[in-house]
Amino acid sequence: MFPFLIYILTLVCIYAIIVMSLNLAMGYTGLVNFGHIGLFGIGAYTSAILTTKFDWPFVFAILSAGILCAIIGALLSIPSRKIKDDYFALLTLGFLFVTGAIFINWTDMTRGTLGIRGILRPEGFTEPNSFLILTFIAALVTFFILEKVTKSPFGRVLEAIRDDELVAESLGKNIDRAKMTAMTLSGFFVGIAGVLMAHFIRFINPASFWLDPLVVALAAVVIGGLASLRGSILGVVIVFAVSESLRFLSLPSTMIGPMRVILFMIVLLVVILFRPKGIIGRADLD
Amino acid sequence: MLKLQNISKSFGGVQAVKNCSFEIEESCITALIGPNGAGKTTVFNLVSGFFNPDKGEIFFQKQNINNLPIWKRSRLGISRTFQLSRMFRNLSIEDNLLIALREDDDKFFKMFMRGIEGDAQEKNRIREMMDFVGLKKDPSTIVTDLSYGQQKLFDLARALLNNHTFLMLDEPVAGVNPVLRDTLKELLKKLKSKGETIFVIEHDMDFVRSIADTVIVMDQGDVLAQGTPVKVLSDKSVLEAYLGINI
Repeated sequence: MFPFLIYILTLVCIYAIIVMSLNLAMGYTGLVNFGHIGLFGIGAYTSAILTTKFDWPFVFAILSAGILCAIIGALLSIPSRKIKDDYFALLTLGFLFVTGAIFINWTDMTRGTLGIRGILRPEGFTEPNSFLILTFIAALVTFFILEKVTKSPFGRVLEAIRDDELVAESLGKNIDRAKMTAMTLSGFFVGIAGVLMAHFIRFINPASFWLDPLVVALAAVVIGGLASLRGSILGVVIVFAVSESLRFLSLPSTMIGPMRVILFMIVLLVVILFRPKGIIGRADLD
Repeated sequence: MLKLQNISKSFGGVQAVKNCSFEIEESCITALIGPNGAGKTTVFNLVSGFFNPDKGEIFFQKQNINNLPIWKRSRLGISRTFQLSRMFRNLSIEDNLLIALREDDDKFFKMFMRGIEGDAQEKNRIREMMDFVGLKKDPSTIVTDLSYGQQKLFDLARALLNNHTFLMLDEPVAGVNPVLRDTLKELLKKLKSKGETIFVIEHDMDFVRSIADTVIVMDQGDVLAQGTPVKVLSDKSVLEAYLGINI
């Protein structure tokens, strides 16, 4: 029971980083980024490759992965100058497919569908308990930095862009630069989450960064609420509580997967119908 | 202050503005009138930078602004309202107005260390502006809770708080009650007496007659007439095109 709890709490901390960083782009800035999980994968693969193939120390690997994802996040924001709303979401979904294809086909580096094994946890954090502390600290730091960003006048400009970017620009705001900054930060933190995931599970393959984690992250953002970091954390806790509670029911193992999806959708539907802003969100879904 | 030189703009097969030229003087109220579809709002959007002209040049304070993005035009001093109020709908009145008031809040590193609460001076300025335009609401009210008339006042307050030298108002009294219309009329007169340069689109001829120094009439994308309200509003071609009166 206890190791299982530590396992779940570690995942909750990693997903909290994913969801908070997604909320910065989606909830605060209005950039629906389906490619977020692609960046998560890039972070994980970068660190896995650097530490297993090139023997880089964990600290350099995590920083490199974060910076690489920040740069890619920044580049991903460039099309948002011309491509808006749903079309931007579709474009980022395309980015997720491209990253998936790279993870599968760049076999020299990624080992394709075989994945990368033997990813070591950093020194001093090899035990599940200590790794939980590491991920908890990372989630806490992410929360405080993003809280500072979103509660600053810059954060308010991001919200203005989300609500009406043309008006924000007509009030003298350089919206392209602001969107790029938001996507850079979002990319950096999800890259860090990817690194933590890779070193926690110690095995990654392309399936780890596909639609399942995207659905979990999007559901947590919507359930917790757009433009609320506390909501993001709450969303992750609810999603994990719902999904893991089924383990304690005496259901046949073949039923658990489908039941999890059904429960998930019910919670999502209830939230969308009765609380369009999410449980503690500050912006609606329009 | 503002000069449009042979401006043309088409949308697909529709020519919204064709070879349009006029100038706007400083510290005056200039009204832009014309029938629906004459191209008035397109002219506003061209000046704001929402569209780029297909042909022609726009000068603001003698600087060619054709290739400037919207935000740079705003920073040059062009501030505007919209025909239908557009607001940051999830934010409070105060947050909306703080965004208009602060100039450098889109700079991440500069703003990262600042809290979201406006300092006392900025909040006072917002309250003063709300009093000035007659917007009697709690600043923490979410903007979507404002009535239509209050939204018009809010629009004006936001455009005034945005650092500007040139104010463009798109139908500021459209659909408002007579009392509010008179309030807005007095406000614009007050602003003019303070030296504001105002460019206004309006259909209400009494309103235009009472505030405007110059009237520009547009029809089918081109300037039909220009001059003082008395002269323009008695022009035969204007009466025919705009008011539908056959002389």
